[in-house]
Amino acid sequence: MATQLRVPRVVITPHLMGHTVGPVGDRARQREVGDAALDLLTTAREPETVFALD
Amino acid sequence: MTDRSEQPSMTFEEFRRSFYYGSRTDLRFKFLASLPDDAAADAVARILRTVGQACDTGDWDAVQDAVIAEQDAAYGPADPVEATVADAPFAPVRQPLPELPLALITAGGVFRRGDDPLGPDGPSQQEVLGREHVKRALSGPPSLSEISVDTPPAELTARHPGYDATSAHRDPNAVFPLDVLREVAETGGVSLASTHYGFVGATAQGRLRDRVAPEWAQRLLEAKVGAALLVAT
Repeated sequence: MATQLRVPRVVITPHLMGHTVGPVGDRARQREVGDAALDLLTTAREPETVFALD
Repeated sequence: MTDRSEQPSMTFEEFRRSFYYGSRTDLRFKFLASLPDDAAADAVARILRTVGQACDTGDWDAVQDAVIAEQDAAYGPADPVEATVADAPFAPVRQPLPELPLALITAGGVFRRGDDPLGPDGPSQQEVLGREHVKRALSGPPSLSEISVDTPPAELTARHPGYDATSAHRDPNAVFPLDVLREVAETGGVSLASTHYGFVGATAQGRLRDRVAPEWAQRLLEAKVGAALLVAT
């Protein structure tokens, strides 16, 4: 869906619905997702850049 | 004890559909309603199998992984989005992040306690799971809640008819990582805008694209926001 919406940059996370940034209380994972998003913000060079986080 | 022979029988189709705004509404498992009977039965069986194994092994992460896998398979990439998008605008970042005030925007229905977008007697998360509330959310215009950058997590709550927002009640960072961004800001990695935002993403997507989002973008520009991080649910 993220690619159909043609957003400029997107980080895709493999979490439960409603836990996009990470599981409840898992600050380390939430930080990892946040860092990935900020990194993509500065490193993407073209629209529709997709980064899938494991 | 209830005499089960007196209860009306339920088909498996009725059972799986009852998770989707029915008698067993559970937004983690509403995907069962969209599957054919065989696929839904297999999904339930796979999840139950991991639950059974976890009872012995204590590996509850495997249960979570199983639910994620079933959600992922059910929603899949094949479903077309409601609002088509003609282009993909792109603004390259040409300045260091600390020079661009960043605004966090969540579609997860997060708002400050005491600032309920539906008024002081707004419904609870459980109450918005009724079909009427869902219909109202999809037909009415969305509102953008403002959340000051220094808002403590305990002052945040969430309500959303499309996912189980009780997770966000326990930890707003799951869909609104303001604490996380504050951590990054403390070490100079990013500069945060003074205001951040929440809205309910379950809304008419065409109206959001054509009318509402441009208005909100203008608000962000007027607030001197330099970059935005949007969290979907």
